[in-house]
Amino acid sequence: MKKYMLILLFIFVPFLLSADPITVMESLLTEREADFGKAAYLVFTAAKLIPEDATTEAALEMLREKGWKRMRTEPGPPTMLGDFSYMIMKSFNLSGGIMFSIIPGPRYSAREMKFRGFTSGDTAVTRILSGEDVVRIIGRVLEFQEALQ
Amino acid sequence: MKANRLFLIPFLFLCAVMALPALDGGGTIDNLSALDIETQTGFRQIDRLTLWADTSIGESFYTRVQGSYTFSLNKPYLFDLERLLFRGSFLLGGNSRLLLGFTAGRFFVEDFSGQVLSHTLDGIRVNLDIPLFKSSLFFGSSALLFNDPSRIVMTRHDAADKSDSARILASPRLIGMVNLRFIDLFLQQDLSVSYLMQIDLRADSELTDQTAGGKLNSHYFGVGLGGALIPDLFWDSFGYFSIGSTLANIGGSYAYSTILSWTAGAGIRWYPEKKLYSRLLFRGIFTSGDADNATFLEGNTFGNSTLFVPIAAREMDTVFSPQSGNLIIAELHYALKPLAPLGGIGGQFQTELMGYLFLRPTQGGISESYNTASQSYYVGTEIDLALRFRPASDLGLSLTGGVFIPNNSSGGVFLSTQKSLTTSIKLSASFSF
Repeated sequence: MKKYMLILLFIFVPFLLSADPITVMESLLTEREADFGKAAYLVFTAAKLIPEDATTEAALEMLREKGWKRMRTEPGPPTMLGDFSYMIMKSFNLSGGIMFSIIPGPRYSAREMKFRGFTSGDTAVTRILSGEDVVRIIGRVLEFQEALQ
Repeated sequence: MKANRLFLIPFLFLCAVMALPALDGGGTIDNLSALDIETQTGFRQIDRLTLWADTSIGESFYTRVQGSYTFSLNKPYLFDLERLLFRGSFLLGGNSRLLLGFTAGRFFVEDFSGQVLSHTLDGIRVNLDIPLFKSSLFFGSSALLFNDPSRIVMTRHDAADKSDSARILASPRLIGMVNLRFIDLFLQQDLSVSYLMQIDLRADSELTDQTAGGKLNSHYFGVGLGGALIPDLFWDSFGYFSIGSTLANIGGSYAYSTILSWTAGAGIRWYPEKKLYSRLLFRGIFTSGDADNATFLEGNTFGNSTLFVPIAAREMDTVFSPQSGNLIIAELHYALKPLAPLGGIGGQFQTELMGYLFLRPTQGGISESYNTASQSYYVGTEIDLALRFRPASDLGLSLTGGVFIPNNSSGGVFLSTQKSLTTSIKLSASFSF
């Protein structure tokens, strides 16, 4: 957990002055059921799809504009593994398996995330993620991206 | 059922599962094509379709159902219910440090070593976990399992049932197991303690002719120790002592004799991942034998029976695959990903070289036909090479070639007519959806 926190802090250090990503992250870490808007904000900021001073509402608006099929766009808790995994796969342009190529969506995104080692345990799309889960998963994805570079 | 209708089943199942977000489901299609060459050449083709569905009920409960259909050239229709379980788990106590759980139905059960019991059973398991200590209690039966997929063969009646295509249900046994595991007890070592028992439930009406076999009841007491030695280097060890009763033919008359047998093993695993994701394994397993056994199963002819008979040990994927009992197996495996430096899909290609040395601790029988006059302890050697490739997360391919070199020299464990050089080449594919 500490390792992922350090990675996320390292990524967000340039944005410390605005403090938004840190504030959102700190808020998420206290949530037993992660807010989907905050999760979307953190994902898009980490993937550099929105500026650091954007809001969670802007992140959700971006999600709607993307028009990804079968993608949830409503704010509020809970954040489910399927929706979150799908958002990660699309935001970071991660390739999936054969079934993800045929039917891209939450179900096969959740399985791909486990295969890549970003998540562990149950791959049910309705599995509810805590804020700590969200931060940990994003940390692992960023670590993977860093290793690729 | 026509082949085109069979292919509709996974498609329709997938549509149904995807329409119900509360339900998770999927399946696997596996294909195995194998060429086995000994004195003659044999071809095997096995195709399996597995479908599963599970759902959570609230935060504490979970259900799963899984079934399969297997096609083979020998048996075109084989259906099996592999899982049907209901599971609950509850966090108790302050700071949720105590986990109480149960699993009921049909599920996979294994002892900590995999050398006594590794099989699907029907029953109930209760587990109680706290940090650094895990415990479980299982009680169940094999009576309602299908005969074909069952690997429980402990008596001559069990062996005869496996050859009987009219037999539907597996060898009926009552099985219990208690497992205790102390995690990181000292110096990063885990200690496991286990007790298993099985009671033969075969009807007395099937046992009127003692020349065809009898009942076998057994108990197993085991201890295991293992953990990390240094970073990347792990070890494990186990030992089981077994007591029980088995039918014996002593002095020409049948009576039940006492089983006093044991098994033990140890292994080392080294993971120098910086060297092309290498993995090195060395392991040895010993199962006691009985020099005066006239037959492998229920063959005791003098004193106690010292042949170790597991309930259903973990399967070996080797060319030569005898049953546990009167065997010493030493194995060495080395695996690596030679194309990992290329990155990308190169990291999904793995090769593994495996060597096996088979010995017997007594001059008594092994599960295969053998030379009863042989005084040799060396059974044979096997070398296998596997090439594995996973081009996508849901598609796996492998090509495995192996050769078993039996000891069929003059005075060897095998006569040349019983076992000769055996080669097997297997191509398998697995697709998940």
